[in-house]
Amino acid sequence: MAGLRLLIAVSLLFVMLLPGCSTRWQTASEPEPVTYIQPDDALSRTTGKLRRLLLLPAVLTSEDCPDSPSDQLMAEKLYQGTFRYLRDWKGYDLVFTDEKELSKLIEAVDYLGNWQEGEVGDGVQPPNSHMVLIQESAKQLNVDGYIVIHGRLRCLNAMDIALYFMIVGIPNWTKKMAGENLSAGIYEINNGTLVWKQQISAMHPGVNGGGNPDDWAEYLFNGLEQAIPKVLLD
Amino acid sequence: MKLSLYIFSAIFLSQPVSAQTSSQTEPISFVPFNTLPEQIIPDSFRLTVQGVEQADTELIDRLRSESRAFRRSGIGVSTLGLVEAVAIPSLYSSALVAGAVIVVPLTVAIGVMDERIHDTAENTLKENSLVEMVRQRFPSHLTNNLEADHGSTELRVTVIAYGLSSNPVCLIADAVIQVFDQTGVIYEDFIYIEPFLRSADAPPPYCYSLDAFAKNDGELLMRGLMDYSQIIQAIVKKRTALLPWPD
Repeated sequence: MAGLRLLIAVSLLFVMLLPGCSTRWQTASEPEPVTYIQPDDALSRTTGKLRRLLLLPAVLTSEDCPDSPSDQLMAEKLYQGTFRYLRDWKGYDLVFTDEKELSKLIEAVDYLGNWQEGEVGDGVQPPNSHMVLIQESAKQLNVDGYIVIHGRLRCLNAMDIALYFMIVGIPNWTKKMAGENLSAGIYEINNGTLVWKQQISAMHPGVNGGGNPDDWAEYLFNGLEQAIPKVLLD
Repeated sequence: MKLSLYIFSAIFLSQPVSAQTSSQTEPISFVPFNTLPEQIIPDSFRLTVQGVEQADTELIDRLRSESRAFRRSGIGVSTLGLVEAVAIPSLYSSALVAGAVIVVPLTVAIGVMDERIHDTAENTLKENSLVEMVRQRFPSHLTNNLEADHGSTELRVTVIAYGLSSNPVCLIADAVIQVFDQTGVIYEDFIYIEPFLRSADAPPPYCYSLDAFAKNDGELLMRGLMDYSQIIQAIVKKRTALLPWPD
């Protein structure tokens, strides 16, 4: 009986709350890679043409999370998870810049992250001053584009955890963090245009509340096109 | 908004385990490859592309039966609730009836959506032969070279398997490259495009949810098969670069 009531409640709430957990778009145009010449018989690709990418440091800030790891630690984990996921599962060639250069870029990444979380459409370029700083750094590394990861996070409070347990039936003590406004954007190097974006308002259920940054990385980038395989370029 | 997270969790945690897409469950093995040795370089060769003519659809069959069982249990519980409401009227009777009115159509609707996804994925895989796609990637005069001498060199590409894997759901393809002369096999090497077993020169497999694979009449599956045929062709040519390939 209790199970049936739960199923009914869940069904009703599911119908009411279905929309609005994540948004993604990718450019309809074909950005031009700068690190290789496209083979004539290559299949049509958009974001996947940008094969060699600079992975900029993830910038995360959190609130209401007294017991959670520091923002910097979370950002580093997300950064490493993104690196592994894009290299091992999407085939991108990722490059980094040195720590000294990175510290100069944090503010620009934060600004760009806030900008990409707003309403931006296809072919839109970010504000010039911040874009130039990142582009200068990226061009030295001979990349096709760069990745910006940005987010504001919130933790689950006691009521959230109790609700989670009541509905899901699994305690969520160890996986407190919920993602809110976590976004990833890919920009092409030629003119700094945003060509792909994924934004998450609440974590996907498949990651059980979003405790593991590796899972965040997978959910953030799962919809990204595969990079053009290296074997087709050599 | 956070509440919606719990609702999603409740719904999706009850889905079949095999439908999950998590990709970080075990280490990836990269298999080294060998190129054709220099000992024998023939003046000409013929090419045979062969293999399984249909994709492995076992995952789809399994998901279909799991989905049907899920649907049956939803309808079954609702029916039981209705019977109980009628047979033993109680304070909860109206809630049970109202619940069944919601749960049954919802379960049926989810079932119809599932069926469409499974059918699209299955049809796309069955209607598109990876073997044929790979064959078409090579020059036709090589694959139709039936007039070559009996003893001439043969390059044989055999697609051993292709289809969808589970945990995570990925489009996979395995093939073997063999070179024969009059003495038998003089070269043999494998191509693996799988989630946790990959040739060192192969890219990662396409891994998405079955829903994403089936979207837009199986566009992503088709795209994946086309990509794989091109990748297999490129790998074959690179590993056997010493053969007299036409420009």
